[in-house]
Amino acid sequence: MERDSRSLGRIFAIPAVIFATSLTGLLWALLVEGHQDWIAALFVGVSLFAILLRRRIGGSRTKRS
Amino acid sequence: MLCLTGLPLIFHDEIDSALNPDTWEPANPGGPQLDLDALLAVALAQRPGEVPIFMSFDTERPVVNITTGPAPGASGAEMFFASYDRTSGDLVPPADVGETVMEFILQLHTDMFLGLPGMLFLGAMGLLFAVSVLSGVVLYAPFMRKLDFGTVRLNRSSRTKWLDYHNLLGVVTVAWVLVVGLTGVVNTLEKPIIGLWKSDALSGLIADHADAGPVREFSSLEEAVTTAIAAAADMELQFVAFPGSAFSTDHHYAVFLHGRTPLTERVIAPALVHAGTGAFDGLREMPWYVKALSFSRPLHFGDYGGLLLKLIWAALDIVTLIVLGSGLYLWLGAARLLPANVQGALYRDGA
Repeated sequence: MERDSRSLGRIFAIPAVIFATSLTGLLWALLVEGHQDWIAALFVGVSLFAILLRRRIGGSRTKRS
Repeated sequence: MLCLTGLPLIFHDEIDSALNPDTWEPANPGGPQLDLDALLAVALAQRPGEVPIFMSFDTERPVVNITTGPAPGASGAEMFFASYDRTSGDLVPPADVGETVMEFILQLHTDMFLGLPGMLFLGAMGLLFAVSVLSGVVLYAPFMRKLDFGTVRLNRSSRTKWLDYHNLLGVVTVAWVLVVGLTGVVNTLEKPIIGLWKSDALSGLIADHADAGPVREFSSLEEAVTTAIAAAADMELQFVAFPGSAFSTDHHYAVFLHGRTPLTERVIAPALVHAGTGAFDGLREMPWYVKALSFSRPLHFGDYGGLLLKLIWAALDIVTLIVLGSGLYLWLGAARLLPANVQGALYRDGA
C-alpha cells in the first residue's frame, strides 16, 4: 500500500527490532546449553517469522498474518 | 557457491552419523583404561620409524586419536591418523564413509582447492558481500518511503514484485547474513592468525625456555598430562602437541586445555610441560585474535546451538540464496534498462 513519505525511524523500526532479536539469539546460543539453546534459536528464527508477516497486494489472495 | 556448499556443511555431524552408525564398543566397557604412554607405544609400534605429532581425545567414547609422521614437522599429507581403544589398545575402525564427499565440499567452501590464495580471495569476497549488504540497507529506505513493512506488490510487474521480495528477505536477514559473512572473513584468515600466534606468542614461550636444553629421553606423557590438568583445575583436556610439532616447542609437550562452560569450551590454552624433565613450565592464554577465530567458527557454521538452530540456519541460507538470485535478476534488468534511460535523458537534455 503506497502512502505518504515516512521517516527513517518508521521505515527501520521493525527491521531494527528483527536485527536486535536475531543478533541476541545468535550470541545467546553461544553462552547457553540445553533448553535455552532452543529459545535462542527461536530468537534467530524471528527473521523467518517476519517473512510470514508480508503484505501481499494484488495477488490471488491478500493477507496480513 | 558458498551458500550452496555451506548448506550440507551445517549438517555435517548428522550426515556423518547417518553414514557411519556408531556400532563400535570398547573391548572392556567401564574397565580400566590404558595410560597414554602405553597407547603411544602401541601406536608407534604400528608405525616403525615415525614420531608422534598430535594426540586428541574423543569426548563421548574411550578413544584416543594419535597422529604420527616421519618427522614432527611433517606435512598433512605425510601424517598418519589412527584411533585406539583406551581400554585395550585395539585399533578403532575409522568412521570415514562419505568423508571424501564432505571433505570435497568443505575444501570447495574454504579455499576452492587453491590453498591460502583461495582462502584470502574468499575473504575479500566476504568483505565485498558485507559492503553490498550494508549498501542494500541504505537503499532500503528510499524504496520503502511509501510502503508498509513487508509489502509485496503482486499486481505490478515481475521486476517490482521481485524488488519487494528482495527488500523484505534482505532486510529481515541482515543480522544473520552479516554475522555469517564477517565470521567467514575471519575464518579465511585462519592460517595467518595461527602463523601470527606461532611467531608471536609461541615464539615468546620458546624464548622463555630457550635454556631448557635438548630432550635426550622423553618423560612420561601420562604424568605430563596429569601435571597440566592439575595446574588448570577449571579446564579439560583437548589435545596434546608433541615436541617439534606445529603447535609446540622443541622441548615441550604442549597440553591444550579448554574451559568447561558453553562459552569457554571453545577457547583453548596451552600448558607447557618439559618433555625431558616433566617440569611444568606454565599455562598461557591464547591472544585475542586466536580467541576471535575460535568464536568465528561456530558463528559461521551454526553448529553450536542444537538441531533447531541448524534448521533455522539452513532456512536462512536458502533465503539468502533467494536474495542473491533476486538481486542478480534486478541488476541484470537494470543493466538492460540503462541504455534506454540514458538515451531518454540525453534526448530530453538535447531537446
